[in-house]
Amino acid sequence: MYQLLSDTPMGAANCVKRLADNAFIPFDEGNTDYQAYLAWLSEGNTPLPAE
Amino acid sequence: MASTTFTNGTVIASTWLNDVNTVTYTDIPTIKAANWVTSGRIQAGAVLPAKLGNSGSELGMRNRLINGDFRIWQRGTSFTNVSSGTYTADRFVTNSTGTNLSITQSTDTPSPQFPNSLKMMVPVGSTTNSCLIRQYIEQQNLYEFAGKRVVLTGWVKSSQTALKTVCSALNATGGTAITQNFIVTANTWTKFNYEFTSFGSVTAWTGSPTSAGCAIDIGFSDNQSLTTSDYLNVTGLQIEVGYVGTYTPFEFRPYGTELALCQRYYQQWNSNQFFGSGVFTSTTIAYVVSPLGAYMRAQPTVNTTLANLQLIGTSNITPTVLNTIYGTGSQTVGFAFTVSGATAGQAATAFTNTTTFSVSAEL
Repeated sequence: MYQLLSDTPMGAANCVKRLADNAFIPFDEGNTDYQAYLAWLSEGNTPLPAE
Repeated sequence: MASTTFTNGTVIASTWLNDVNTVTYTDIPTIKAANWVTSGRIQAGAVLPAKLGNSGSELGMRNRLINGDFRIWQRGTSFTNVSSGTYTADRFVTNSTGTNLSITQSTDTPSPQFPNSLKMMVPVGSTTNSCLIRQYIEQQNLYEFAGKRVVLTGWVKSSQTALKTVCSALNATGGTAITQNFIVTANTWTKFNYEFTSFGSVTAWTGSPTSAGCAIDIGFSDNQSLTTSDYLNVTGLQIEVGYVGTYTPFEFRPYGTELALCQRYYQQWNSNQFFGSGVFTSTTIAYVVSPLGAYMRAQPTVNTTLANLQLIGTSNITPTVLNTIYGTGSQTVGFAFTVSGATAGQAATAFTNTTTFSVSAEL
């Protein structure tokens, strides 16, 4: 399960939180954790909204 | 024991030590006077340099595995009952099905040349499908494997006699995964070397340069009945271009070099360390830049416990959200944190306090 993060005044957040271990995963296609997140999304899952 | 006779008839005692004929040079002044060439010229082209057996791969940085002698354990030295996909010793990830694994740093090694080995055990006895430790190799670090054979060498010691290793070409047209099962004497350090043709038919690389190009696995043979006392120790792992007959000794690299190679994929600040500095740009936002030991492979995933961090200005402020991670292909990585009660314009020094802060760009 993942959760989106709030934007900052400088721009949109560029990472998502993996709730299993509270890791912060950047939106970088070279990052294998992000690749796993994209695969999770492609299975029809939806992340929790930002708090 | 052997002796050496020089042309002037002088016999000098000598001994064989580690296959090298060690001569006692007590009689050198006499020999020099009678036989030494003191000047001369060699005709151009008369002396040919010895041909390198592996077309040069005997030279430096030939081992494409990182931390093959298991000196570097940034994440810790003991991992109990961890699931498949858990990184343990730097660059090595568990790869198991049907069981979790326990991994520890061990000082049981084949010789003092290797101070450490990786010890793998199963936390619960069972018939397991697969118990392996794996390292992925970044594709741009093995382009020369295409069309060639590679040799994997290493040392193993296990309570089980049936082991296996796998060399898999990844993101490569024509690449294959090849398994080598082998038998060792139980509870005895054994050196192995196996030749793989996984890259012999590779005609093109299909992934990005920073994607995985190879996976090396080593562990117990599949479907064995293992107990909690079964173990496998491994060290001195090396993969290089070549044939079984031409593999080279393990390449011992300086610790700082090996650590920097690891830090391209993972870097950790332990508790009570400063990991960066920056500024509170408002009452609710702090930007922090952290120096890195090496250019990371990709923008890294951050693991920490925000509630235990401190951003130090004139007071200690705990961040509540990590909103953004900046930087790739850089020797720094930046972060935007959400905070509360800060003073805009104040400097912010990032302190791990009671937790760790790690950045990971593993394959």
